[in-house]
Amino acid sequence: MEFPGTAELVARVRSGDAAAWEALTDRFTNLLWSIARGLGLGEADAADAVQTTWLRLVENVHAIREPDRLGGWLATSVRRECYDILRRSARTQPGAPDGPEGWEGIADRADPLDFALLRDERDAALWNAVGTLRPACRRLLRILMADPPPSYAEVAAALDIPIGSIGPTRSRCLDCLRHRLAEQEAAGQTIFGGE
Amino acid sequence: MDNDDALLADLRRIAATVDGPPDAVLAAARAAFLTRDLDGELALLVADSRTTDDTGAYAAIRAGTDQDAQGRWMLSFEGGGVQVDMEVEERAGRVRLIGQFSGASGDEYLLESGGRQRRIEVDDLGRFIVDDIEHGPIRLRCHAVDGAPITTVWVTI
Repeated sequence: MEFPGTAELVARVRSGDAAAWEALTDRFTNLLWSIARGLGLGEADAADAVQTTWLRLVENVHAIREPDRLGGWLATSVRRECYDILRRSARTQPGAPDGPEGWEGIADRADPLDFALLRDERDAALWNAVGTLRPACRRLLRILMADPPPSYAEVAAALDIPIGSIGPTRSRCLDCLRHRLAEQEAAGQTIFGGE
Repeated sequence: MDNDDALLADLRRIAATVDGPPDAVLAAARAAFLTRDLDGELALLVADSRTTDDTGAYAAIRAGTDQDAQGRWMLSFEGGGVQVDMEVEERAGRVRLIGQFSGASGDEYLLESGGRQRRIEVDDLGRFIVDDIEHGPIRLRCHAVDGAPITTVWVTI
């Protein structure tokens, strides 16, 4: 059986088909979550950003001009929600900087990575190495980890960057990740029982 | 599959284990469909004091009193002849709305938040205070002078 395309699901949602809506949310919620987390939101804020994005789609589903590119529309929409939420935090928490530098600072405030769930030592080392990358790489890689894998158009919309820059940056970031992993191994670091 | 793809596949598997979307997020995504099919008109967000460009309606407020403006968050919605202006205040993790409906009629004013609706008490001038709201997406509903229902767009507070 062939899965219905995104445009077909949007058409069915417009005529009130709840099953088509569920299929859309199953397809894209992981991407939206990955974007919100990649942009540095904590779990509660990420949940708000994702939910508001879905509510906005309900509000605008009849106005979507290119239904086959819904993923890009959703990615742009969740990025804007994330910006808004981070600006709110910056306002209510004096001292939190605004602007591009602020993003780096804010990204570091996200929840600590949950190593306890990783039993496999190589997985833990890999995840740890991701945390040592520069923020631009962490953001890009976290979004590329979405499941199912996002299109470059969706990634470009999520980060507001040109599509052409994604391939080269992805490859540089993954190279850097391998280096960090090798450095960790050389230094004999282990995540478990490393005392 | 090249090396990069294989490494990303590993990362994707790990992310699914340690940082997948919580069940509540998936459930809320599905439930969002229940908010569809509203009759009446949307009131759009026409001003938001968080916007960074200084051409917005609140630019004067921000520029004028540097002390006060920081930390104050004002929102305005407009549509169907109705305007809603409100300030969002946060205290100890809960949110309070202070605002005013202009050009609305009838006595049914509603706040939707956290999947629930609650009535808003409005005085003769359309002013209201709602306390103790959870963080998350909200919207307000009222009626225009001709009786048509008006709903604001969602905003995450």
